[in-house]
Amino acid sequence: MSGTHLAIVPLIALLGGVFGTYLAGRYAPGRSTVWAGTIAIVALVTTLVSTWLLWTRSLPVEYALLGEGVGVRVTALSVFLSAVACLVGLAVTVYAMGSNDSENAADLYFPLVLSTVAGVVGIGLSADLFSLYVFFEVMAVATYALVPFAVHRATAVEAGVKYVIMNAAGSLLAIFGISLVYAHTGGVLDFAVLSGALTATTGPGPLEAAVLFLVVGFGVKAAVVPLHTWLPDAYTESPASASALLAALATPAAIVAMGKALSVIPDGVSVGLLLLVLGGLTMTVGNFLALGQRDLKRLLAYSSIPHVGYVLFGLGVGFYGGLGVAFDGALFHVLANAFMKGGAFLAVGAIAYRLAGTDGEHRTLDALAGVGYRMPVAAGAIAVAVLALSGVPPLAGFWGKLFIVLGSAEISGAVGVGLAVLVIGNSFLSLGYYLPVLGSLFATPEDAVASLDRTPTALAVPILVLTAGTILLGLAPAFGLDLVGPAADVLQHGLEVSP
Amino acid sequence: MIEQLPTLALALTVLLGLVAVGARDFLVSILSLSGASVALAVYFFLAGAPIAAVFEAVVAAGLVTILFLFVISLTETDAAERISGAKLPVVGLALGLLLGVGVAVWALLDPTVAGEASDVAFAEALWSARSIDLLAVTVLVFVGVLAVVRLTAERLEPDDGAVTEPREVES
Repeated sequence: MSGTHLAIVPLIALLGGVFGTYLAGRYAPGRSTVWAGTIAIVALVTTLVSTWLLWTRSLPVEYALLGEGVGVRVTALSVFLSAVACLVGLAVTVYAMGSNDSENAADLYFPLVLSTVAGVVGIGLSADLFSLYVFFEVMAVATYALVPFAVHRATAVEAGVKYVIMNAAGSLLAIFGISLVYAHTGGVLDFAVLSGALTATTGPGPLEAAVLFLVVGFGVKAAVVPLHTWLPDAYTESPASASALLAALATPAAIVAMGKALSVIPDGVSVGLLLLVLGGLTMTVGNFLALGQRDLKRLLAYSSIPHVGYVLFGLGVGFYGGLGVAFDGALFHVLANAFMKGGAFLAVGAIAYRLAGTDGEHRTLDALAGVGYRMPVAAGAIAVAVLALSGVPPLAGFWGKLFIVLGSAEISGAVGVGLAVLVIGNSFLSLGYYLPVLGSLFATPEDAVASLDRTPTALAVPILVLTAGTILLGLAPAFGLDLVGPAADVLQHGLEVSP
Repeated sequence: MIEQLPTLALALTVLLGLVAVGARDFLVSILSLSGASVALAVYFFLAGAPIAAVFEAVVAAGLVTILFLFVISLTETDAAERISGAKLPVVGLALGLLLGVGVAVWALLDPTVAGEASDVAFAEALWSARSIDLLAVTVLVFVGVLAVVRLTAERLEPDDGAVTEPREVES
């Protein structure tokens, strides 16, 4: 197969998988979950393998479907997003096959999961700003249905309504921003030539307005404070595997999409400062919101906000000072977040799965006291994840934050030191709500918890894989940096293609 | 008058967007958001971006609005009462009217206002220049349909062992 045709294989495999899982789920009564899940796994593995093959070639690789017009462009950033999306997608799919998350509607659940993954892969592959938006919408519309998937629960539908309304408004603003760029450049949207076509004007102009619209538009989906209000309900009310998909993939991918869109804006526009301020605000406000939460799934949901903040802050430092190490930190944190948040949400789901038959409250820290003795795999995974999330070395969450701190410190003077202290201070602040989780998991067991069975094997496998990833990525960050470094270069230096 | 249309469309987008966010009634919010999308689509068309206009009208004004309506119809609010039963045609009519106004504005416009975009260029642009987006939009519409199927599952199959069933609306 020639290099150019290979470029479209990841997308075709996933889009084919969307239709394939639907048909399998629909026309395989009785075993619909197994068939749909298996096809989803095949599609994801095909995508992962083709991504790896592309990675071994000289990038960027371009391909247009009919040989002309706008096609896809495989860069190191595409490979990074594709790898993260497939890993999270695989974990979520295996988990959903073992649990009841699809609620006897495998013909709908698995296509939606694959569409979310396809949207993220498409964001990486998109060659122009409009394609980026279209794939962003594929991801968004799929999650619109995943959040209220438990349609029989009024709270889930309410969370879904809030999520859809806010994100649809965000999408509207994003496309509006793109239309301003389109008007400003006279019809140029291709990333390869866009930064050359954009020229900064003196004083506030249409380009500044476009940047604001893009940041707010993508920022809603990324849950940037103050556009985060949909997040706690959406994460809490969606099925465990959908929560993992949102927290580990969709939300961070929205930040990367924002970064990719903003990477073409010329230096005259202070994109970095804007992202710095919003990132700082997001991590600080998010941490304060998470403090005092007693519902474990809600606590994890709230704690996703500061992690969005770290990534945004890293991008902000990178754009502001032109610092590669900060871009590395931001993308490394996206990778680490996929393992940490994915593992944590799946583990919480496994505990809820076991507690489902018992009476009373299932999700508060008090109700879960001592669960670590009955379900060591799930509780252990949560323990590793929260330690990693708070940035304890040598786990995965440590390195991303370290690179962001190093980047911040490189900005000269007291400002740099202040920014570094802000990140470190926020990390310590997060211990205020992560430590009670650890204390609760290994406290004296409650009656309901004392009779629990162990974590089911089918659910334990993806949880263990993600937890192992959290530990290994922390012990050997070089493996992650091999993937992250070139992708960060693409974000930093734009997506120009040498002729 | 015709020169002022882009400004008018933009002003209408912002106005309807504000109404969508500010309105206390979900139904007003949804219809305003749909209206904002139509106005934005009109602006795109005037700005010489017919493809973006078509996508905006179909996806944002059409698909997303239908999704909203289904979601709202599942919640137990006043809005649900007004959408369900005999009131549904009224909402449909309002939506249709909104889209109709958008289409009428397009039809009445002098084609030269839209710059270079002739019919041939438009078809060419849609089928060859943006084939990858067309592929993505196909999946997008399919996913939208799946979402609607899921959100209406409760109504279509009331005996599938759901924990709570939607309350019957009193007429």
